[in-house]
Amino acid sequence: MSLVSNLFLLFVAASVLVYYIVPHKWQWLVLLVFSYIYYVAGGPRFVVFILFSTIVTWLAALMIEKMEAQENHKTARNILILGLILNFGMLGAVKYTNFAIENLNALFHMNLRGMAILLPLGISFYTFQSSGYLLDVYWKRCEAEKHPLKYALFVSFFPQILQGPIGRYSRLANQFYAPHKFEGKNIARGFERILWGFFKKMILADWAAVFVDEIFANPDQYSGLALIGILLYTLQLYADFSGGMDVVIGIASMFGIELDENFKRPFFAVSVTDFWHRWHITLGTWMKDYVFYPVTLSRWMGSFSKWAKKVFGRKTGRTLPICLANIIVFFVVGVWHGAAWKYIIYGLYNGLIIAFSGLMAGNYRSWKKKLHISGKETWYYVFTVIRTFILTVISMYFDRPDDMGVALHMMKLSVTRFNPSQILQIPAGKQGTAFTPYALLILAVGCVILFVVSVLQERGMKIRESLAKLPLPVTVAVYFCLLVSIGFFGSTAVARGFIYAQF
Amino acid sequence: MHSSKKILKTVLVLVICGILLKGLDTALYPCTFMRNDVHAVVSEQFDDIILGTSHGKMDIDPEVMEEITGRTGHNLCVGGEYGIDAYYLARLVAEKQNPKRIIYEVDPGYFVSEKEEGNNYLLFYHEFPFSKAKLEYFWNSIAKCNFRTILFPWYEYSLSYEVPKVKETFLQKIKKDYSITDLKSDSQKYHESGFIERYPVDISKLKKTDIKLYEDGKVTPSNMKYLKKLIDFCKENDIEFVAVTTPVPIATLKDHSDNYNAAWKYFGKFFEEQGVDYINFNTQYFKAFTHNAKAYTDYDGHMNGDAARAYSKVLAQVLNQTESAD
Repeated sequence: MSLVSNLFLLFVAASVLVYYIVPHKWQWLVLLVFSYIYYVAGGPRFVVFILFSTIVTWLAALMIEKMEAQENHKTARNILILGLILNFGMLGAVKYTNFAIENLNALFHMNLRGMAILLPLGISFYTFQSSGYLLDVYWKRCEAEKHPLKYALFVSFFPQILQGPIGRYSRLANQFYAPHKFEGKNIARGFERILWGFFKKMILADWAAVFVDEIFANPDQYSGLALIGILLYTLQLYADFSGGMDVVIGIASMFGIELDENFKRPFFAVSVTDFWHRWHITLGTWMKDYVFYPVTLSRWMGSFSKWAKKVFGRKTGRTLPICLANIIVFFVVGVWHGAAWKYIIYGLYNGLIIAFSGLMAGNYRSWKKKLHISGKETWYYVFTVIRTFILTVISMYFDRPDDMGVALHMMKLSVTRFNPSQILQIPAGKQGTAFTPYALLILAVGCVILFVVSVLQERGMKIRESLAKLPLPVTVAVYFCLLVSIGFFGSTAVARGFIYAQF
Repeated sequence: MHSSKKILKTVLVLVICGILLKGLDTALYPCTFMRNDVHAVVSEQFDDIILGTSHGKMDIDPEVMEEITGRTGHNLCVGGEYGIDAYYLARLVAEKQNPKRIIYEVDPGYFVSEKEEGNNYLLFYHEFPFSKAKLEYFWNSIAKCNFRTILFPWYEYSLSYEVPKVKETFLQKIKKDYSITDLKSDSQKYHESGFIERYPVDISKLKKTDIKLYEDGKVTPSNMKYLKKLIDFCKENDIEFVAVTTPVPIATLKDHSDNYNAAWKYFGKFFEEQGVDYINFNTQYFKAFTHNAKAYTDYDGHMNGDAARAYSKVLAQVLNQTESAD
C-alpha cells in the first residue's frame, strides 16, 4: 500500500476516525490493529518476520530485566546477545544470503544457487528499532514493556514501518499508550506536513526520477549528462526520502504522536559529520548510540588506543580510535542500506572522509589561524556548505548506479564530458520530448521553492506557525494552492514508490 | 458554541475546496471519446457491445456490421483497455441496458503486460456514472493508484493543456454536449458508433515498431482472472460472448511467428475450455481477410478506414455463420 495511494489515504482517514471514536484507553489497540492490517495488506507471509522480531525482543527484554534484578549480569548479557543474534540473524538471512552466495561463488568459483527471497516490508527499520529497545533495557535506559501487545505497537506502528524514522522506546512509549483527545490543530498540522511531503515527492522527486532513470540506464547515450544526472539524483533522493518522512510524521501527528525528525536541511551542512547529523538523523543517532559508543568504549579499542598513543603520539593516538570507530559505523551504515558492494563503498567513503577530517582537524585549525579565518565569515560558511555538498554528491555516485563499473564510468564522464542540451532528448515520461522543457521548468521552480523554504527554516523561521497566524481564508488558500499545484505540476510519468521503502 | 463554530468553519472550507476541485475537473479534464462511448451505452440500447483494445477500436465498425447482422452495436474498445476495464465496462453496460452479445477483441500482448498507472488510466473510470460497477472498479483498480486520480483526475493531461480549449471543455460538459465534431485529428476520426477511422498512410514509409508480444509463461494471472470473470458474467446474465482476434499484417506474423503461434495455442485452448466461440483471423479464418500491409496503417495491425469497413463486413458474416452453426 503506497503512501500516496487512494487506498492508503482512505486507510489513514479510517484509522484516525476510529482512533478518536473509541474510548481513550483503547486508542493504542486501534493503532496496533490498523498497523497489522497495513502490514498484512503488504504481504500476509511477511507477518511471520515482524512477529518473530517482536516476540524475541519482548521476551528477551523481560528476561534481561529479571536477570538484572537478580544481579545475574552474565545471564542478562547472554540473553541480550542471543536476542540480538536472533533479530539481526533474521535480517541477515533474508537480506544478505544471496549477496553472500554471489560473493562466495565469485571468490571460490563455486556454483551455489541463490534463493528466491522477498524482503519483508520494513525489516531493516523494525529490526533496528527493536534491537535498540533491547539494548536500552540492558543498559537500563528504559524499563521493559510488560504488555506484549503494547510492545507490538512500538515495533509495528504503521506510518513509520516502511521507511522510518527509527524510533526510540523511551520517546514513543508514553505517546503511544497515553490517551489523546481529538484536536483539530493536530489534524491540520498533520495535513500540512503530508501536503509538503507530497509536494516534494511528486513534483521534485518523481520529475527528477524521469531524467535520472534515463541517464543512468543509458550513460553512454547521455554521456554529457553524467554530472547533471548525479545532481538530479541527489535532489531525487532527498525529496523522495524527506518527502516520505514528512508524510509519515504528518500522519503520526494526526494521532497526537510526535515522531523524531529525520532531516534537518542536510544541504546546509558545513561538514560531512554535520551532514550526517542532518540526513537520516534517526539512523545516525542509532549508530552513534548502539555502535559508535560501544565500539569506542570497548576493551579492544582501549588496547588499540594505548598502542596508537605509543606509536603515533598522544594527540593522534587519541584521535585514531575515534576515526576507526567512525569507519566501522559507516561500514555498518553501508551494509544497512543494502546487500551490494556499492552500498558498502558508499558507507566507507563517508566513514573515511569523517575519519580523515578527524585526523586533520588540528591542521585545519592552524591553517585557518594562519589565514586569519575565524570561521564566522559568510564566505567561509558558503565555502564549507559547497565543499560538503560536493563531497556528498560524490557519494551518490556509489549509491545510484547498478554496480561499481557504472559508478566509475559515470564519474569519468562527469569530468570528461558535459553537454547539458542533451537533456532535451529525454522524454518527459509518456508525454514525450516536446514536454521536457516544461518538466525542467517545473523542477527548477520547485527547487527554488524548496531552497527558499529551507533558507527560512535555517534562519529559524517557523513557517507553519507564521502561516497559522494569517487569517483563515489566507491560510486555507495557501494550502489549497499547494495541494492543487501537485495536480498541475506533479510528474505525469509512471508512478514510483518511495526509494527507502525498499530497505 | 465555540466548538460548533469551528466545525462549521471546517465544513465550509471542505465544501469550498470540493467545489473548486469539481470546477477544475470540469474545466480541465478533456472531453474524450470515451465520454461519448460511455454516454452512448448508458443511454441507448445496443444488441452488440464490442470490447477490447485499439485493434478493436480501429478495425471494427458496428454500423457496417449492423447492415449484415441486423443488430445494433457500439464499439467500447480503446488502446489500454485491459481485462479489468473490459469486465467493469460490461458490468456498467449490463446495469444500464440489456446487450445480447459481447464481442471481445483479444490482443494477446495485453495478457503478458500490466496495466500501468499513468496516462489513460482514468479514461474509463472518470466517465462512469455513479453505479455499483463504479464502486467496485474503484476498489479493485483505482484505489491502488495515487491520490491525484481522485482529487485531480486531470493531472494526466497537465502538461498538454490548451488554454483556449478550457472554456470550450467546460461549456461542453455543462451543456451535456456530446457532439463528435472535435473528436478527430490529422490521422483519425471518431464515429458515433464508437469506431475510430484511421486515414490511409503511405505504407512505403511505415517503420516496424516495438509491439506488445505474447510470451509463453508470462501471462499475468490478474488479466486472465478478469477475462474469465467477464465470460462468467456473460454466462450468468445470458449474454452471448464471442472472442475475436483481428488480422495481423503478414510481415508481423512472420517476424514474430513463435510468439503468435504460442498465443493462438494458448487462447484457443483457453476459450475452448470456457466453452465460448473464438474467431481468430490469423488461424482458422486466416484467408477470410487480407493480411497485406496495404490494408493497415502500421505493422501492429491497425487498419485504415476502408479496410476496417470491409473487415467489419467479413466479421459480421462470420458471426452470422457461427450463430447459425450454434
